[in-house]
Amino acid sequence: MRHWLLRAIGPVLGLALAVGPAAAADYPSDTIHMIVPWKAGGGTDRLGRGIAEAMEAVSGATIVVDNVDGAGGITGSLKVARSKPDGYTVLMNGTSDMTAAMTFQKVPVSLDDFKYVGGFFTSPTWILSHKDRGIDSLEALIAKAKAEPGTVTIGTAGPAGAQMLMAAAIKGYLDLDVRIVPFSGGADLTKALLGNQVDAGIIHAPVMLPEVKEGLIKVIGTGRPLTRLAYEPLRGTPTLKDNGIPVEIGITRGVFVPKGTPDAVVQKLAAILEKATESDKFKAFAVSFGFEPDWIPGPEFEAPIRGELKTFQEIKQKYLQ
Amino acid sequence: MWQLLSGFASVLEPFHFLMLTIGAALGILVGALPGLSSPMAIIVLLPITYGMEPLPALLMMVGVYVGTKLGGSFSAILLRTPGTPAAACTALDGYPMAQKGEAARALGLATIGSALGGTIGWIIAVAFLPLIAAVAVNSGNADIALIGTAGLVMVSAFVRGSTLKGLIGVVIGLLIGTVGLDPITASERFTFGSFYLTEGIPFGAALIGFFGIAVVLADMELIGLRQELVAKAVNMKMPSFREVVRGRWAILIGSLYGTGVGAVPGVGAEGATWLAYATVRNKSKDRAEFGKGHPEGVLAPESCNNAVTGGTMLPMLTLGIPGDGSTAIMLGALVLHGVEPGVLLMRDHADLAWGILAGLFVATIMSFVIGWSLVRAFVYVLTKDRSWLFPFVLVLAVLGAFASSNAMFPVFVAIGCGVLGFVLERLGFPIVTTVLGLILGPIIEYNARVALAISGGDWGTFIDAPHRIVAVALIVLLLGWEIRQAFRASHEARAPAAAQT
Repeated sequence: MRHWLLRAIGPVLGLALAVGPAAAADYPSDTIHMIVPWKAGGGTDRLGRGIAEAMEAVSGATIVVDNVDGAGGITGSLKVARSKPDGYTVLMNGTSDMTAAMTFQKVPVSLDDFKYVGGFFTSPTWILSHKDRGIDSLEALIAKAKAEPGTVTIGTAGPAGAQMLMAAAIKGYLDLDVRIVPFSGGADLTKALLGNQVDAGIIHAPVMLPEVKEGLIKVIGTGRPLTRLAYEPLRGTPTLKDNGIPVEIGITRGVFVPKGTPDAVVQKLAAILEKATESDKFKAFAVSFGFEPDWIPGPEFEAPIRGELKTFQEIKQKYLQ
Repeated sequence: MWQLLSGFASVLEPFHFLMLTIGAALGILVGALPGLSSPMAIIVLLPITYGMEPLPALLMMVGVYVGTKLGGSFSAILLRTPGTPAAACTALDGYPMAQKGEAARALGLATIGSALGGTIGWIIAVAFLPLIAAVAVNSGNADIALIGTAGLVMVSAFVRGSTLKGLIGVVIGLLIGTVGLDPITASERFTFGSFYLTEGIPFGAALIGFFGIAVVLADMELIGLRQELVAKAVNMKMPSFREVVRGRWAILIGSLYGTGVGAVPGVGAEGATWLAYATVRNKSKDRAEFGKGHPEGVLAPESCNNAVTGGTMLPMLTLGIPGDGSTAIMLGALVLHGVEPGVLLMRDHADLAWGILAGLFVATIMSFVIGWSLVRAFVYVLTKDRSWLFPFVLVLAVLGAFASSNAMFPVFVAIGCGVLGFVLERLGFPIVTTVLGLILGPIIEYNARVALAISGGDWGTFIDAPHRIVAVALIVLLLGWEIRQAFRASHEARAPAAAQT
């Protein structure tokens, strides 16, 4: 009897010890919760679900998407930053959505609270106008603003995001007298654009691409070159820089984990994410969304984000007080 | 026309029909559970639909969407806890009916109202497709602000007793609605440095608190005072055909409001039901009976919230504009199934779009069939002994508040609002007015300020179109009429006293 007990201790202890280090070795062995800090149905949510599906397909892991919305994406980000750093709770968000939120609000979370797994979908932020407005380009919009001060209206998809900062940059750097109209979000701005109720609207590309293809809405400018847009005729659209505004605005969606997550786990997650990004299934989904997917490894994903935060803070300080 | 017929043919294929019916059944169940809402159910079903073709996936979601509109009224009537925010108005007359032992009648009225409202809304939407789409696109923020203001002005429709207390109740609701970030400048209001309050008071959780938890607290007080919760003899009588015919105007008015307001993205079923209820009450000859169990008080909001589905699905399919949370997720589902929503959907994916529209009608019918057969079962189970229900309701309320955003904060909000609601009711302030202020306040404020931002501060934007002038005139007339009513009432109250001296 006692021999049996003594002999059992060995394997039991071994099993107990094995649970620790084995965690990284057989990651992912449990359900991964991907937190999307936005409401279900929105652009970031759709992309998150798309990539989650692709990640499941390439790794066999189960990935559940949770929507934890609030405070421009900060509530969900905060939740992940404070969760157990074991790689089973990850954040899926956009770079400029995070930096813009941090610019406008005092938030209990910072860029240093995360490790950057990688980015998978990059898109610029663009400016649209209804075809009946008669504004063909950003140049024309600027000319109109100078000729008729105080009349031009620029809508933004949100009062405190990257789009608002882009509007402020246009207004500020060129010293234009325009009215910035902050809509509650993309849905409301889309409706206003379709109803031709504002001169221009700023929203992340490729929202409204179907209407653009149909000729109903025009793309008059972009925050970054549209060279990888899945619609060739627009690839040469002039950027902010081409119009004298020295700022680049776009958004890269990627995955973040709490900063205490072991590097081995981060690497495994990055490998899964990379494979998912380059899978045929996700490629097809992304292209139908509007852009080819773009795998950006962790370090390169992280590098520009702090600079972007600084730029946003400068814009806000100079032009939005 | 033939596109619609082929849409019906697709819907009636066995697998599609099955998905639709399962969706409707699930929807009724989810709707009946306080705290669980249509967007939640649809988002949970989304991954299950990945392997399916777009049509059955969307049909299941449409089924859930329609089902929750009916299911929400079940718990509103039986527990005074609205299963979904859109059913809050149904509790006003539905619950008193249940208290009188007429629960089956109330549930039956709700089921019929939902079915007829959904059908009428659907017919209007399909027959006037281009018109509805035009309304959706051309509705400006000024229009939404005016609709909201009209709703708020109708507040005296809900005031029993002191008009002053009713108005104070509204103001309390408006104040609660201001907590959070300013919608235009994003500056913090009443957040007291708390990060969680920057998102404002979560509306769903507040509703659960005001209607659900406050009720439990009030009933518990009765137990504490050793007063018997009188279990009236419950009869299972279902509403008769004649009764439905008598209520035909309420149904029609509700449906018109629902389709119209549903087509204007931004107000939603939650706001529309109150407008319908107030209008029906004001027109009625037995005004005083409203709030005590008038059948039209159930028919109006229920037909309204189902007609909204016709109103919201139209802009969703023709323009890619979501009318509410559920349709927003459906749009996302379309994207995930490789279908681009937007102005081209009806053209490039006609079969799918017409299939979904046909499915909306079939879902309304199926939810009627399922709902009608479940009425007796619900009544039997839930009116037996109420004291064991309270923990059940509280658990569901807490779960629902938590599930609304996967966090504990809404739970605290729900509890807080429950206590506040209990206290307010005790002091004679009708909770209904607070809820009205809470729903409509943010809508009015945001839309009015955006309208002014677009017009550059010019208030003339509210009267620069014929329909807007009509709306403003209506609001002014309503205000005048209500002030006159209030004076008359206080005059009559004073006259007998004067006569006695």
